[in-house]
Amino acid sequence: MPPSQISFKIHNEDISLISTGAEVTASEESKGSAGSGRTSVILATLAFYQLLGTGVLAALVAIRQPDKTIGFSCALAAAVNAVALGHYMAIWRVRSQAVRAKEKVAGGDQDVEVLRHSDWAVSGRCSTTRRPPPPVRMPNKSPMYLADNTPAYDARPLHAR
Amino acid sequence: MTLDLYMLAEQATGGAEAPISKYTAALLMTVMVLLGATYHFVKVHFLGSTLNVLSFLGACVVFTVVVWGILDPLVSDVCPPGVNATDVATGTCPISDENKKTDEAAVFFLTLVWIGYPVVSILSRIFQSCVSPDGKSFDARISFAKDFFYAVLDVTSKGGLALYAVFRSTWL
Repeated sequence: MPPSQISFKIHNEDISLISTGAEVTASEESKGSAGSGRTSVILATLAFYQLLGTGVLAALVAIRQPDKTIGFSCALAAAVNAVALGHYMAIWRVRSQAVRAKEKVAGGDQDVEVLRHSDWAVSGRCSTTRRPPPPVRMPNKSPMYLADNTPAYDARPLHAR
Repeated sequence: MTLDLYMLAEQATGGAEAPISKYTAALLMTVMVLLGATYHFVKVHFLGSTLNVLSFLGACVVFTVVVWGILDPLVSDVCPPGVNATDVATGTCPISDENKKTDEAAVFFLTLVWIGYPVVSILSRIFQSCVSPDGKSFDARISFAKDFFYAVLDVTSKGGLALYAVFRSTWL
């Protein structure tokens, strides 16, 4: 993915951030309402608890079942639910992270896609922690500082002068 | 899930042989996941590549073969090995037992629900390309729709399979 540049203004200063690859998710443009982000978190929670319920039920039946064929079928279903549970927990983390950061639901979309895909792969892994955005270096155009960023005035506190 | 559905289909037909064995199907599912991973990787890094389309279509073909492998003995009413055809005219063994008919319906339902995954993937891709042809922006509504439909599919297919396996144990 080519580097993308995002420009904005802080106190009439033009700031540009260059975003590449993985970090782009955090700062990409998103459209829609922030409310859908919270609904996504609720959806993930509902799915998590539903799968937890059916998974535990299947596991209990698998343990108590005297017929090995039926027990194995229940155990497989419980295993499938357990894997899905892990992924829903990770999806919930990504989505709630985006909501807490007051991003819209698109935040972490790539992470969630990878998690969903790895649900099929069972052993797939994905980092759910987002890298911090690159530090913003404020260009110092203030007359209070010299070109080499040293204060152009006596910066010592009054009592130390 | 493939193994579980194969087992259910085998029990519904009384052990009829599938066109591909369950272990081959499980291996094919790994190939499908690898192709899906290629699709995802290509989508993220080289948007609009031919490899993207090929890997997605390849994954769909493998998926179709696995679904066919699971459902074919049920659709064709294949007789189990060493059992004479109950329907002599067609040379097939239609399922008559009520419990096995329920198994058959469950296998059909739980397998066909899977088709929802590629459908949601394709539709979200189409809508995404309409919203952002360059792929640089996301639409929150598409993300939410994906969350919703994938959650419904997961709960129906995985939760449904577990529930069915549990209920099935009560009447067998």
